[in-house]
Amino acid sequence: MITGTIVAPGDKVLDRVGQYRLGNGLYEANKRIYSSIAGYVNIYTFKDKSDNLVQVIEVRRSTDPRENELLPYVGAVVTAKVMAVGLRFAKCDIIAIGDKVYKKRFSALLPKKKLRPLEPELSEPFKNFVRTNDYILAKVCEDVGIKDKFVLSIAEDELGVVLCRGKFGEAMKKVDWNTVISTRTGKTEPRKMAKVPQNCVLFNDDSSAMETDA
Amino acid sequence: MEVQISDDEKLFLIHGVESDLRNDGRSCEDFRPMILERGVLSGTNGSCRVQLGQTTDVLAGIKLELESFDTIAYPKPRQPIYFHVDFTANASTQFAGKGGDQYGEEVAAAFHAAYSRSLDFIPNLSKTLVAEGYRWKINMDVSILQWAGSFPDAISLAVIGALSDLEIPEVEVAPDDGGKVSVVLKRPRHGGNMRDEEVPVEMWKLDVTKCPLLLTVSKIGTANLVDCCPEEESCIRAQLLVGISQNPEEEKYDVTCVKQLGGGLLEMESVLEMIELAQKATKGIYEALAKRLKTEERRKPGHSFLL
Amino acid sequence: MPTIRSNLSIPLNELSRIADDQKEVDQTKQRDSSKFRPLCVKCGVFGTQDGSGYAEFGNTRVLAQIFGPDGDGKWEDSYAKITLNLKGVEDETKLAEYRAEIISCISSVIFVQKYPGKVIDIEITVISDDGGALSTALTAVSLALAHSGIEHVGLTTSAHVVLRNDEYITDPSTSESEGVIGGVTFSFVPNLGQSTGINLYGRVPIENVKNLLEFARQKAISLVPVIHKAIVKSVDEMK
Repeated sequence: MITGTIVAPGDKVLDRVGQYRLGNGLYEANKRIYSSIAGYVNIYTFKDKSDNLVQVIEVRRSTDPRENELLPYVGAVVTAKVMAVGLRFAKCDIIAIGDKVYKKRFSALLPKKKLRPLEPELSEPFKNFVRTNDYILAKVCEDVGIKDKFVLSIAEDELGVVLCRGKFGEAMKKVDWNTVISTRTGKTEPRKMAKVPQNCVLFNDDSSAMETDA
Repeated sequence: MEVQISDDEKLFLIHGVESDLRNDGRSCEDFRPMILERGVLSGTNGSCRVQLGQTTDVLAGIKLELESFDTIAYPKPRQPIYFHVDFTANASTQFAGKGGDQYGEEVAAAFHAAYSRSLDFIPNLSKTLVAEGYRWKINMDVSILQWAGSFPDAISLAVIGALSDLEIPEVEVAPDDGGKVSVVLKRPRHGGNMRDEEVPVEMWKLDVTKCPLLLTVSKIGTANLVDCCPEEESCIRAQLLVGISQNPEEEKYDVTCVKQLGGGLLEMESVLEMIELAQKATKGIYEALAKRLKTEERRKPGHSFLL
Repeated sequence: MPTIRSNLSIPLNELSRIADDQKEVDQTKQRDSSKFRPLCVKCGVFGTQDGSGYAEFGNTRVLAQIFGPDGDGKWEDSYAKITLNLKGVEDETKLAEYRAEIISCISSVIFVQKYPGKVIDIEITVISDDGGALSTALTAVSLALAHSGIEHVGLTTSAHVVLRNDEYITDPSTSESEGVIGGVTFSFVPNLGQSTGINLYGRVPIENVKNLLEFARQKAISLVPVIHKAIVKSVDEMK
């Protein structure tokens, strides 16, 4: 099959898997490979951990990954609003992926162990990181136990709170990466702020997202 | 009824049915023992209760209604049997509240489709049209009291049972003022000194020998099964609801309804195999049903099956 | 053979109710019993909806829209819930019958396990019904699914055929299906060759069932190129 061929759902893409690895938009039935969405065939290669070249075949709806995926996908950086903070999880609503705003909100969870990298159990309370009604930048990641909701992580320097308000609804200013100050009362509060890069690459179309799907 | 069985149990069950041996010892074409009793509800014109395998329990009751209709709007005789299926929360928790309403409507619609040609296969059903603009409307109310698999089969048996139990009063039609007619119950006098109200009304019955049976045929693994129990239903790949009416004199079968249920994919050959199995099963059930309807003792009127 | 009319347009004067005596156009009377009524299929009608499709067979017109997959906050099972809202069918019995059939068909093609905890809403509007509304609706849904990008087994085609005396008639209008012995709406996934929905009605002698189903299947197969072309065209436009 040649790259760029337009297929309808149910069209046979390959007679057998062969050297390819199956990407999105394909399924296997009776040992043949069929398309499961309408789009065009795309083949790309990447190097896996042991430096082998892997060829992945997939069906895409659009060159833009935001248009291609209906739902927030693993590895995507999303904007979310913290709706409630519990003991072990913070409930969030995903509002946008990159600069594409979803029509509806998707509920997601931010577990406590994904607040900071490589730290199994935090003794610090949740409110030192995020509080209700904060807007955060987070990455969608996979969790074995939770399937019906998206799981978020802010365990990276670039991720964390981007907008928060104080007790009286006033804007809070960033002091450093873990402190904010109220513009009205001058009181400081702890937060895990995001270090938003100037040249922000929200979508790196490489292994991290695709490997898990294959 | 909700059943939770593990993958290993499912696998055991599937392998079993593929070698024609089910967990309760039946073969794929066997039904569970059935109980059919008529005249169970004293407040109805005809009623029937069917129990399948001691757990699926269905109660059907008929209320007659003399309906006047517009002869211009409906010039042709219409099918007079109306179905209403009611799932109670007693049968399964998933029907609690309004949960069963939509499902009940869908099952009733399937029965409407299967009985859409009832005027053809119940020869004396056209008698329900008593006069120009007047007819007996047959309201069939079915309640699912307990659910343990293959309830459409049980409903269709209960429907036939209730139809055979149904007694429709004979009427006399007399012309009335303004081109209309008046419909009066027929009370034949055989002498005696009785007041009019005490003379019993003459009744007639429907001929149900060709009524369609609706059976569910399920595909589990590579096997086709009739009358699945709940454990088997959790392993179903696809299901067909087949309505077959038999013409006993000529050994002819008519298919009145085929529906694919429950969201599964089926090969064309499988569909035909499943219809064939349904036909085979229908034949056996028809025989058993005819025998039962003939030999069943009448219940004492005024006593419900609960007593 | 079926033809495609390219761009969707429903002129306002055609949207008004068609009088019963006007339904029969002269040319449909001479139609070959193995041919479909003039048809129009369109994948992707509204840009703002997640998925939309339109199918028209003669005077039967159906519009399908898909919303989702969305999270509704309540559904937490490991597969997607599919809900259906069917509009424009007045007869309640018919409505329940169609609803059951369409839900069963759709849930057999969508990979529901790929959308855990999500809800897929489907809205079908029967704009006008002149026979074969069920098969037209199933075609419209298949087009809407292809447009939505929800992963499913493949496009489905469906055909409505009836049996009159010894003659099989394809896609009859209401007036053409009078006095028939029975009929069937058959829908299937061509790439797997498996049926997703069968709805047989009437009183068909059992020896005719096989031929009737086979005839319906052949007719459904003959629709595949038309629907395929419509989907490919919509992808091309999106690009």
